Amino acid sequence: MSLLLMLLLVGGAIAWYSERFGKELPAKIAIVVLLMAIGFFAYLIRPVLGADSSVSDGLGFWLLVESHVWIPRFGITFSLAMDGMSLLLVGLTLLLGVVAVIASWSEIDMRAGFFHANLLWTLAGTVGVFLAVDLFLFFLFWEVMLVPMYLLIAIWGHEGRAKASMKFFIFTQSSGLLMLLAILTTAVAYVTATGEWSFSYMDWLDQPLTGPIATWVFVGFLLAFLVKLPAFPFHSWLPDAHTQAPTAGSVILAGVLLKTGAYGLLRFGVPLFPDAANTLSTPLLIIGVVGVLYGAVLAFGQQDFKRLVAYSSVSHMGFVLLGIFAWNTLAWSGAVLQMIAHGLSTAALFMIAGALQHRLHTRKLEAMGGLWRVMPRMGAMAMFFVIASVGMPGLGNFMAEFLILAGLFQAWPLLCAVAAIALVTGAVYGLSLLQQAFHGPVAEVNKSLPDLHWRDMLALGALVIGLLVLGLYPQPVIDLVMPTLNAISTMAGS
Amino acid sequence: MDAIMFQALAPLVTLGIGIVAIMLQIAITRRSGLTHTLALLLLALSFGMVLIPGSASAMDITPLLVVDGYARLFTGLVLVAAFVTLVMSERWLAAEGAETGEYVLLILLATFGAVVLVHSQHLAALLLGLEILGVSMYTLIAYPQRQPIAIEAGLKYLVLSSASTAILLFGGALLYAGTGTLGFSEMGDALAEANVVFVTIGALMVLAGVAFKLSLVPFHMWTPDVYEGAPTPVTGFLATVSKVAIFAALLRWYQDASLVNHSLVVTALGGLAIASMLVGNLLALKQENLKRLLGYSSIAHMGYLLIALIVLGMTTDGVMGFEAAVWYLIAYTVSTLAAFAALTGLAHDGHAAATCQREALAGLFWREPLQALLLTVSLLSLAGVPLTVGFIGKFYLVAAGVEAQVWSLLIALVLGSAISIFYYLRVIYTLASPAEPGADKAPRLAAGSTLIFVSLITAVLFMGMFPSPIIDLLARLL
Repeated sequence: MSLLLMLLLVGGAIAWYSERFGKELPAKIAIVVLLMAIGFFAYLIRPVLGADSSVSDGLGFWLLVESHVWIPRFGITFSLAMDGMSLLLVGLTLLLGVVAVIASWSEIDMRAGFFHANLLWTLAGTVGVFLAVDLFLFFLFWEVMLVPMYLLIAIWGHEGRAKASMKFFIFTQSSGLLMLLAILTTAVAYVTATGEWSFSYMDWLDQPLTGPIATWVFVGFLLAFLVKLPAFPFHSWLPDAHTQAPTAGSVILAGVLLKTGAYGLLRFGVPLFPDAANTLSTPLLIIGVVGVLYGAVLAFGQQDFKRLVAYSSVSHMGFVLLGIFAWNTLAWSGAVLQMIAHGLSTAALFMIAGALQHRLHTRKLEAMGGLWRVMPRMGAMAMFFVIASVGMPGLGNFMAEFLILAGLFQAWPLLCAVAAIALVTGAVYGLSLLQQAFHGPVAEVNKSLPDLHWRDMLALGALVIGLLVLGLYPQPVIDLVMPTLNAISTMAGS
Repeated sequence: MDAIMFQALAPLVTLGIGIVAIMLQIAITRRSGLTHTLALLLLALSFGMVLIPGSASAMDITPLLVVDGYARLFTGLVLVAAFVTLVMSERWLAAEGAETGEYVLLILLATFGAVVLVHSQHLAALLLGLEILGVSMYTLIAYPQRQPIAIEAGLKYLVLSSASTAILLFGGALLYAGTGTLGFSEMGDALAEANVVFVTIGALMVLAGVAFKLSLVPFHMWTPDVYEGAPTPVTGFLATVSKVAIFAALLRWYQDASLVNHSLVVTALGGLAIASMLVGNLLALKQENLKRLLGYSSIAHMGYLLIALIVLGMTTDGVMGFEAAVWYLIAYTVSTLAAFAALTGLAHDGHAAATCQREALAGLFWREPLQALLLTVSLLSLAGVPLTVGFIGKFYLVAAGVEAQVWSLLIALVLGSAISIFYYLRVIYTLASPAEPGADKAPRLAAGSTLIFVSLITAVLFMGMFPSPIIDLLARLL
């Protein structure tokens, strides 16, 4: 697994260097690197798919583990491990990496090499976050993936990039500092209890933190995750960052970076501090519902294509929060599905938004209209992904939201009813987006726009297939994450 | 003094003799290239002496000085910083047309003072080191005699620094009156039974004097002006060698004299720390000049460092606090040195960036990638982003703070760091923004500077990624 990270890091450096030999070379190298990474990833997980070899290996729900000594003074190790959940998310990251490179194929004309290097490094950081099981390493990846992402927004972003990139970095970095404080508090508690330093997730599970300090530590973790998710009062960085980022940046940001928050909650927050998480679950569920509705309402009011999609992300990620704190495996599996489905559909929508901006030089919905007639391929794709994201049965997002609501209903019927309103509001803003951009009369200036390139169709086609599979036959995916969720359920004592 | 003592003190002795020799060389024949080379050789030789393994235990050389692993470590650090400063100064001296001989000599003398400081175990030695360092610094800051801003900075530093030394002296006198000794550890023993209020005031006065030199709030007023007015390499020297040596001496005094038992001193330190972290970072927000910005940020960094000092005696063994202080000092020195090396690299005739105004650095990434990378890496390290040495320093600080459960200090640290991200990032944003039309390219860097740049980048990143070798080294030395 460390080879996978290495491949992305070195690939980034090569892409940077290749800039001097040709303008399109970095993008081609990035694609090759990502395809190699996907190939290597497939090779890695080949033995673990299908057979339930993991249980017999005594690894529990882990499929692969890897560990190297790093800083013995603090018992810090370079430990990576993969279970069903991280497998899915790493797969998603690599796939969306390819989509991101394709989406920005002709958009980037300045410093293409450095752009693709940053893109690959962000992906490496994200993959690291999904694989790290040493909390020090996790924190390191968590912070390090921000720097290239920051540069992506700050250098290649749109007109308001200065403010947007700054806001993004400050929000995530300062909440990250609180997480560092929380991590170190847990580590010091571990030393006090056992006499030895360790930042290992598995060690910490064996020596759970109790008492009032656990709540504070959980809050430290929680804030970092809620900012990243983003949950309702901490979401204000997201619309700016998504809107101002270049297309590839938005795709990665919405597709995978937001998932790190939800992943962190499920992987670390809930299992390490079950009591604290349980005590706080009511306010968190309310935050989730507020986020779901508030995001939907704001999305409806937006006149900027990307901003609209960004606010819809706030709404959809609110569902993930609901799923996590509904506190049963049904809702958790829904939350994981939602992460994947939202990643696929939102990435596609941002890609379409990017393509529109590239052609129209604006993101304003007023300047669009009737584009279906001009660009039928783009119109059809946009319609597919919009109805997917508003929760059309048969597609991934519906399945995910259904599972979340079903799980939530068991514990909190009333809250579930309120959250279900979002399915209606979602349809409202989704269809209004579609109507304003693709229906109605065409403006004269827009009559001769080129339709999507075959490369774009290929990338979007892959996302379509992904959503269809998730929507029609999600069982293999659920089977993949179930061992993990069951283990978390046991740890959480629910 | 016998041979073993001389051997233990070899770095200091070599440096002293070397300075006299270079002084003679200047008197005999004025050749700036020769002086410069000799000075670099002298620093390298002295550093070589540090590397010779000495006895493991601490060795008292007269009641004034002590040679131990701690002193050796900081001597090494100070010498390296002085070496980098001297290499980088060549460019500035050439651009300014300033006299090389005296400049080099003053840098060496200041380094000598710093080395005395890190060896001192007696208030008299501390004062000696402080004054050798300080007097050289006054002259260095005002070295460009035709620039009013430098003269003003030098004068400011002279007046305020002398006043603070006077306060420190008075405090020392009170301590002497109360305890009958100036040696650090004897003072600790005597303090335990002495009239507490009386000597505590003395200790606080010494602390105030030192706090001035470290530019802790509320003794920080001089910092931005002096940072801005002094020649860039001298500012780098002031920010690293001078502060590190003084902090190292403070750390030894605080620990040997068991000042942690005096709650008033600890409270005062806590107040200084919180004020420095918050005020330093807040004032840095509005700075448009990079040297002023780094000045304010150094105030905040000294505030962070105080956390390590405060927790030193609070935990059972105090190991974490000590290690944290040493690590943070190393991290701070390397990162600050890197930042000022990058800025010095921009200094040449008529180059707009030489003023260190933020806008003048726009697009530096595309014009001069190496220097921009160096500046970026150093700023990220100062901000404490992982994979840089600054993060390991901050990690140690937070770990030590958590162990001692000083939550209010940690909250201030988190707040301060969150604020600091803004101004560090703004500089990085400027570096990466599109270049202004007509921005000039600097002449090619000398091979020496390029080498220094590359090694500083490597040092910041390598120590951040693989801290274990340094951790092992510290475990052996401390």
